[in-house]
Amino acid sequence: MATLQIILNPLAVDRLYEALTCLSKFGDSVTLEARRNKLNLRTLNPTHSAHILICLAGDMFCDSYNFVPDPTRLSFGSNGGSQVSQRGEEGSFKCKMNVKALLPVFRGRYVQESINRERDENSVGGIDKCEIVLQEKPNKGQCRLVVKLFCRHGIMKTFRLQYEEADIIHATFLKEWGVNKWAIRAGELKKWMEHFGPKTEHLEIAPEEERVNFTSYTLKIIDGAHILRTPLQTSIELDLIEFNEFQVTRDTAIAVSVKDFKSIVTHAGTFEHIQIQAAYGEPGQPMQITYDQNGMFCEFTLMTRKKGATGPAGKAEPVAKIMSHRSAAPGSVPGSAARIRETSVALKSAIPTMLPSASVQPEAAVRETSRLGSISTEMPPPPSRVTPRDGSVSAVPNSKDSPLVPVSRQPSLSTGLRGSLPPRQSQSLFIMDDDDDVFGSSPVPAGDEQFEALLDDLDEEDVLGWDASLGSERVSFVELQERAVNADKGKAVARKQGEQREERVEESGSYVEATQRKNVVKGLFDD
Amino acid sequence: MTQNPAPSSAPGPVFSAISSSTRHIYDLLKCIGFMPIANVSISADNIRFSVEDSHSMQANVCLTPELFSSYTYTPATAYLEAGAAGGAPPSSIEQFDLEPDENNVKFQISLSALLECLQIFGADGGNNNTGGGGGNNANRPGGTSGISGRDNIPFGRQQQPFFGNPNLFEQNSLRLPGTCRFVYQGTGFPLSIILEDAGVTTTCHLTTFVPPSSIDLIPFNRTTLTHKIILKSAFLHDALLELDHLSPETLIYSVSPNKKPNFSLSATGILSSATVDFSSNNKTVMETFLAHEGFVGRYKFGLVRKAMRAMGVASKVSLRGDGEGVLSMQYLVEVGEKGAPPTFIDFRFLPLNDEDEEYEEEEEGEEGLGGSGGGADDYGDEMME
Repeated sequence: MATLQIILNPLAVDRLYEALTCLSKFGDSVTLEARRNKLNLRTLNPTHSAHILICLAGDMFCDSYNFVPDPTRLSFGSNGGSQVSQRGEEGSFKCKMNVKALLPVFRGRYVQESINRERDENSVGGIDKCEIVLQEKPNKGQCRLVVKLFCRHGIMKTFRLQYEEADIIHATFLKEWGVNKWAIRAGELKKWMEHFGPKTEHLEIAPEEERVNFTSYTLKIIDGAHILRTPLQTSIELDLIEFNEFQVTRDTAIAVSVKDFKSIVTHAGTFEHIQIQAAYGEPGQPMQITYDQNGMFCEFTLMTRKKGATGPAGKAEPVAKIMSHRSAAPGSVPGSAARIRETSVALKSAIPTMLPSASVQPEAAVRETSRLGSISTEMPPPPSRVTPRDGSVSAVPNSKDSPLVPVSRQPSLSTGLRGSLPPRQSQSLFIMDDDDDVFGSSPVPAGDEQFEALLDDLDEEDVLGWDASLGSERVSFVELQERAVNADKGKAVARKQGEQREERVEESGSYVEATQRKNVVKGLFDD
Repeated sequence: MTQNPAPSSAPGPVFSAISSSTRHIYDLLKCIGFMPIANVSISADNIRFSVEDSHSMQANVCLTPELFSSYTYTPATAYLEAGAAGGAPPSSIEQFDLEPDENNVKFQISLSALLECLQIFGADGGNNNTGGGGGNNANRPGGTSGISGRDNIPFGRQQQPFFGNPNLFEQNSLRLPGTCRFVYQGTGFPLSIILEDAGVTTTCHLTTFVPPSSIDLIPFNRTTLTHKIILKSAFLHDALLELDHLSPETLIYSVSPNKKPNFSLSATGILSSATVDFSSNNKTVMETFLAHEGFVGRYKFGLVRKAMRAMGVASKVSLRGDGEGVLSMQYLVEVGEKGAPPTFIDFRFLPLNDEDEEYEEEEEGEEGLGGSGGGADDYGDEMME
């Protein structure tokens, strides 16, 4: 029976509440992982495109932290592998809870000391300390996480929260992927976030000369005569002087979900003087945003969109995709790895006298509807299939060298030619069954050891299957919701997509079928 | 609100009262405004509004003559009803008389319509703190607590931050106070509310209904009193708010004289359960703690939740339980100027059946009066519909 006892001061409770609020914006459940000296909170969003890890240091964040792992469970690691059990010696306790049950427990617990004595006597809020204890009595069917709040005036509030067993899911982010880095004060970024409207979907971060362009945009979606979503684009240019560090390969423009990005920045903004650090590779590879303060370490791994967002480039060309994928069969990728890194633009080189400037240019550009005029052609391009036609090279994960950055890339993002984009291996956050063939045909990322070494904390990873219903037609979460709202329309959409698939099959000659069963896939999470 | 003219050939009014401000009356009535129909009983001492829900909770507000600038009750002209319920339980020690008095004038009235009428007078507008201890705590600027008469320095209205919900009636609270007259002429006549304001007179006739043959109070047996707790209402409000987050079905209320915690409230929701414990030692929170024996009562949370508005407005609450598990909550609301006698809002809750009953049987009405034997027999099941 594991024992866990944490004591938090009111300020830490408030921090914890902010963290949970942030997690709740991504998913409904939060996974708690108690370790010897830290407590990890994790959330994976429903589309598996974002993973959040918030780590609370036992010594710095908590007033007192005591965790003793269950001695009986050490003998059999959940994955059974010898390696696992060896590493699992440290032991951990994992459970999953509904974040909505946790939120009210920690809400509004920090109340500043009132100067007014009379008011203080009547103030009902505020706590003196918070104690979190794990109550594990499996025999009696009484497993609860007990949160005791010691309030003023001798009032005690006790919450007994139910939890369920959970497995820990890690996000994959190789250090090598983080070739592009920047760091900025959270407060600075937060100032501009409100300009990105709630209806926009994607946020593109593109460096330009001496500036960084943050553009939020929505793709126009038309279903027959109905305009489901109107395009809206907002650009904010931040001078490089605002950044504490800026090292981004020229023309590396990535796009992430606006909502996710805003949630992160909002949370970071609750800290005083915190610096957000972002690291990412190319579009289609995950982006990692980290910051920490006072014993709370936050790490957000977001999947970036495959494609730059400038102009009509957001349009997907499904046929081209499939054909290009076929041509991307193993062997066609040139072996010579060009890896000359573009000169990074560092902040230090920026002229200090330059005034910070940011311009907001809302602009609604009606984009041309897609050739097929149906939804799926307007959907975000699938993350894995790219054209290697121009002969540029891919960053192959099994290379032990430094990350590969294609240089042959034309500064022609705006032309929207897919061919101008560099090809790459699928490096999505989690394995998707659509990538079966990719993984099957290309050698499994050489050396699990390398992976192991790179991923700290990677002891009991689980293979995360991609929901076939999601994978077969790549539909963004937003669109899924839309369908749910409008069931009839949803059916129509599905039908349309079905038809379109047929069309695709016809046009491309043959439809690429999975070459491997899902359950035999060797994925990123395999040991 | 009916606009029918009052029947002619009316005798002199049975009841007539004048008030210069309806705000405190509105605030008090709003506390029991969760039901559309109220029973009204007028006597020389007070005018009492009572509502009941699911035959298992009752709430009463007594407006005392002090709340009005003039209060006349002339029972001689009233048509005395016969056959009202008898057998009132011992009562006289109550701070205000809740027990049915056969000589009182009784009728039913639409409470929601009455509240709407009072709103015409601008009762709901502005932050007229001087008017009474009403309103929602959270909406008060500057964190003024709902307890009135504390910091009612009459600042100009413009000094207060323009706080949400800009009300059209805001100006009304600036003008010279008009008068509000309540007139009831007897059985069959409407209750008339006449609002006079700078030459404009608004008359509302509220249809009165014949009351049920007997208006039964939930019996509260003071002889078997198990405990009496007086605590600051804000803390009870906070505790219930805490439990309310779980959206529970049942509130478990327990008092134990000897072992800690002395007083605790707990509830279980779908995802979690929570308990709020009070210590009897802290005089800031708990003014009085008298417990003769342990007491555990289970009440429908949805019904207790309806008392939360009163909790937010009141300054103190007295909690008592009797041998049958009936819970009485009396809220002390300070209205009007400092020093004015407080007003009480009274809630009574019947307990849910004992633990040995199946949970499925917790349906409304099932708990009924089954748990209250003894002196409760007189009250039977003839509650009003």
